Amino acid sequence: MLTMLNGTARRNVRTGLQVMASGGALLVVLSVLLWSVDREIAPTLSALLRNGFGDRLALTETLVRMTPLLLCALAVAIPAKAGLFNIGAEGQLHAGAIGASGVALFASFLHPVALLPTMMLVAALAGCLWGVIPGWLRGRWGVNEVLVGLMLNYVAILAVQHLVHGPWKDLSALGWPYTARFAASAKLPTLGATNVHLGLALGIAGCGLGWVLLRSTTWGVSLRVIGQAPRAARHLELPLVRHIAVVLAVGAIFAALAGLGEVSVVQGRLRPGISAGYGYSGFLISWLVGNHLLLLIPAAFVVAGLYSGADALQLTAGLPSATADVFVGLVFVAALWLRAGRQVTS
Amino acid sequence: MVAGRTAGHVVIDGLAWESFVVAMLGGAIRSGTPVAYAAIGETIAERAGIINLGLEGMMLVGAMTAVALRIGTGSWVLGLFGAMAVATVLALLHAYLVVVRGANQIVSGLALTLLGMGLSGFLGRPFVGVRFDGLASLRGPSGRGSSDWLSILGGQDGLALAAMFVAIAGWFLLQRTRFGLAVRAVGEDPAAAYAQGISVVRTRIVAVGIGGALAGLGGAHLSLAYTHLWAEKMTAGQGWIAVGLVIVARWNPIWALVAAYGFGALAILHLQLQASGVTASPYLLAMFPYVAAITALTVTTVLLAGRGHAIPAALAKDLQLFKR
Amino acid sequence: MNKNYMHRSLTAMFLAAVAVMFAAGCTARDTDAPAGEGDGTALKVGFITVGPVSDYGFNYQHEQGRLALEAAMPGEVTTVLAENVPETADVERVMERMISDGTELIFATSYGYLDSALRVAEKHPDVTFMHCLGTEQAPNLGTYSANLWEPAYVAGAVAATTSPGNVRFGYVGAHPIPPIYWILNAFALGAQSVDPAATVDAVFTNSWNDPAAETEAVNSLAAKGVAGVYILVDSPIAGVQAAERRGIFALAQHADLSSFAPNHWITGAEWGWAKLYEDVARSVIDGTWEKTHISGGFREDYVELSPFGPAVPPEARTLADDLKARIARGDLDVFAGPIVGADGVERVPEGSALTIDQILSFDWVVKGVRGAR
Repeated sequence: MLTMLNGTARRNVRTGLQVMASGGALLVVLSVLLWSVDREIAPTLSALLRNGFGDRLALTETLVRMTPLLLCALAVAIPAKAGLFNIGAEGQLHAGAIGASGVALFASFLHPVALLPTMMLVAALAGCLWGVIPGWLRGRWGVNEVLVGLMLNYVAILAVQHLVHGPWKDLSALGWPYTARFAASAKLPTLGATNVHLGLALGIAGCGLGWVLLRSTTWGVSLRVIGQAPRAARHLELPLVRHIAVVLAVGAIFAALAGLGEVSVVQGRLRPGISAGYGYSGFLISWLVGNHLLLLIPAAFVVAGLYSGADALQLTAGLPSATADVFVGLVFVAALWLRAGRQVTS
Repeated sequence: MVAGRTAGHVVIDGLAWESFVVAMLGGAIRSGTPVAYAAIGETIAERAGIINLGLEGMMLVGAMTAVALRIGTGSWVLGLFGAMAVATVLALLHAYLVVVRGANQIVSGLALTLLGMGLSGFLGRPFVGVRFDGLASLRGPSGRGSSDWLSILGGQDGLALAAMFVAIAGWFLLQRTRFGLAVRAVGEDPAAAYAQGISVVRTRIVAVGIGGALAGLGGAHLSLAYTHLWAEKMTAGQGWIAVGLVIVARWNPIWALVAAYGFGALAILHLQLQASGVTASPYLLAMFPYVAAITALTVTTVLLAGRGHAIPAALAKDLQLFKR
Repeated sequence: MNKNYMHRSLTAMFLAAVAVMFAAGCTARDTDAPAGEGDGTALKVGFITVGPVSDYGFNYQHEQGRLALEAAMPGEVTTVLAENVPETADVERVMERMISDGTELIFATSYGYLDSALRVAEKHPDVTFMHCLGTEQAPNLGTYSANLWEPAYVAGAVAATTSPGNVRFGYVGAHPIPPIYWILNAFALGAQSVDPAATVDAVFTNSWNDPAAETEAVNSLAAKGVAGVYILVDSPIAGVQAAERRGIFALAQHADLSSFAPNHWITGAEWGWAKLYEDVARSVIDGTWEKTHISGGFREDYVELSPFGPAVPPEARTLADDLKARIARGDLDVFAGPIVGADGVERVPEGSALTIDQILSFDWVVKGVRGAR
């Protein structure tokens, strides 16, 4: 039956099955884990599912958690089309946070209508910068973008530390390493009283738009040629430098928006520790679905739900918080195990 | 810190400047040792073309295992070997997934970091807050304001001094042994190495294994010799820094050691500068090695364009799968 | 290739089926089984910590308070703990989850939870929130702290008495914030009350928890020749052990760390959360809870002086008991004038004392303290 589908559809089905397999692996793994530490499997699993997806509170919290994960996964998936590994999403997130915070702190005189778009613009520019550096170096001279991206992650995180301990420290915060609280007008629009903000919509739109653009525009097709058939790309004399730099910058914009969301909505100020490794989690999520833009949305949702649900491990089963890391780590190891063969970017 | 002249000698905070330098150097070596081990190990793995982002997890399980065995059996030797063994197991898992099954190196490394962090935190709970005797330094701690240059080395523990030998051994391994030649060949052009009869799979697995073992040893130093305790996530990102240092050191084990000591010095300098009232930002200072690494990487890549590789050519790319 | 693909899809489908069965099985069973489940009349109290409660420090002490609360009021309260909750959206989710599980009193023990706690408090006016070391309140959110400067002062006096030949001390703190400054200044003043020439060299690690940095900080202070160090980070174990190894005296904050420095431990300042938690829980049960900032010192039993180490001479112990009694009675005010700042300016004239607000916003250091701005 499956042989009736064409190659792309078959790959998509395979990816879908692999995602489900990972989901199955997940539950098996957790059950074994719980059994090994003498905890009741069924109540804990059901509490986990309930905490992640079971009621309105859970769904809201999952959507909140999902937003930075989706945006960072998008930041990885788009460059992946061109065969690039954007490990720098973490740094791009922090760069976006710095850009947004700068505007919120020093341009708060702007009319509220202008403030948010300015924050978004500056955050996007900051992210672009952080994306274009490894992009351009890779395109122009072939410098490995993984290594450059990794280094820039450290630099961005240190930059945040420097700013909040030094020039941007809130003098009235009595020495804590935080900036001043942002004005209310610097907060992205949210869904009611929840923390679900515009970033989620932007992420979903980005996935949809990206999926369409990659299929139907010259730019999108060029990227995929660069990613899947580099020699053909050179024969066609595609403008490699421009495409590579641009695609990393575009991806970076989404990671930067994640940073904007964190400082604008979740924290209300800039401080160390705004990201719980969202850039790296985004990398894992994107990989999990084979960098398929549309599948990012359910994948980010499920992973976010698992993180939310993992509260149950502490609150219900009384397990130490490290259990969640073991769990997620094992899930990905299992997924890696099941994914025999080379990763094909679709 | 009051700097000034007292009877013709420069004085920093009541210490003669020699003592200040001695304290700095000794401290740099001491605090840079854990990350030095990890960086030396990672150099070997990356020379074979495999990037291991799981170092943080491996250092943590090494640190925890060393403490657990030391408390449980009283033997620090067992602790060290246990640390190396457990970290190697994780590294071999990474090697298997990546080299044999062709999994994505970055994802595998990230997953193992999570696993290592979680396992060490979970299994290490009984050992938090438990007192034990760690590795002592060779001589007793130097007294106040010692300007005894020997104390830079004498104030170290055995593992810290061993790191220097390990760095040299690592260089020797890579440059002067057949295995090292295989490692470098596999990292540069695995297809050619395969064609010449080198076992790509086996070389890579061993290289990654060595990297894991050394990372575990670094973690063991942190817990057993440096802080004499185990605490969740105690490496505080040093595993990640080790990956960066390998790049800074341009994939040379001895430079990796030096870079690690430089990192250690920066960490202490930040503490010393505070006391002096100097308001240099420690974070800007800390950025410097990474910016320098990017610059160096770019320059070398450009200069060598077409005539060689700035980095092991196979590094981090999608790996070809070989049969052996 | 075909065989591999078949094999993989079969594996995938098998696992997916297992997953579905599990999910179905799980949701079919009775799901509600929270930990610490009691009868409907017990007050459910939630505790959230930013670090592990095994840290023998800040978080550990809150956990001791929680355990003491359970022991002191069995049947009247049940408690639940969430540890290692980062100061991001996660803490809001944990609070919301606790509330939906029936928690009515939440202790948010880390300063960085304040914004989140205020937001959640606004959404749930019937739940009581207590935030540790906070600077703002809301109708249903109070803040709490303890006058830790009282035992710190006594510790300083004991330290100076124990080491009469060398009254140069060191201080390892995390961030230069008021709670750290209270202790630093009180410790210095206490030491100076025994020997006016006492000094304190302060070093900040800029991290609440970094054992390597703390060890190195102690090493560098020891190299300068300090007689002892006072450690104020979330988990003082590393610093205290480093002090023991370097042969200098060790003092610490939060909990009793004497077992980590058997020869060189002097004493320390401990939070006495047990009594405070009990007082708050009772007030919530009685309906007498009011939004306010709760704090107290020796008199209210909200702080303790740690047990003394073997190096502490008898006259120091007598002095300590005497100081404690005088502070508890109100005869001795730790921050009574005259106090001169490190810049030479007199900050507190003779005859007056710092007010609570001034203490809570401490951002300067007294004469004799070096290294802190």
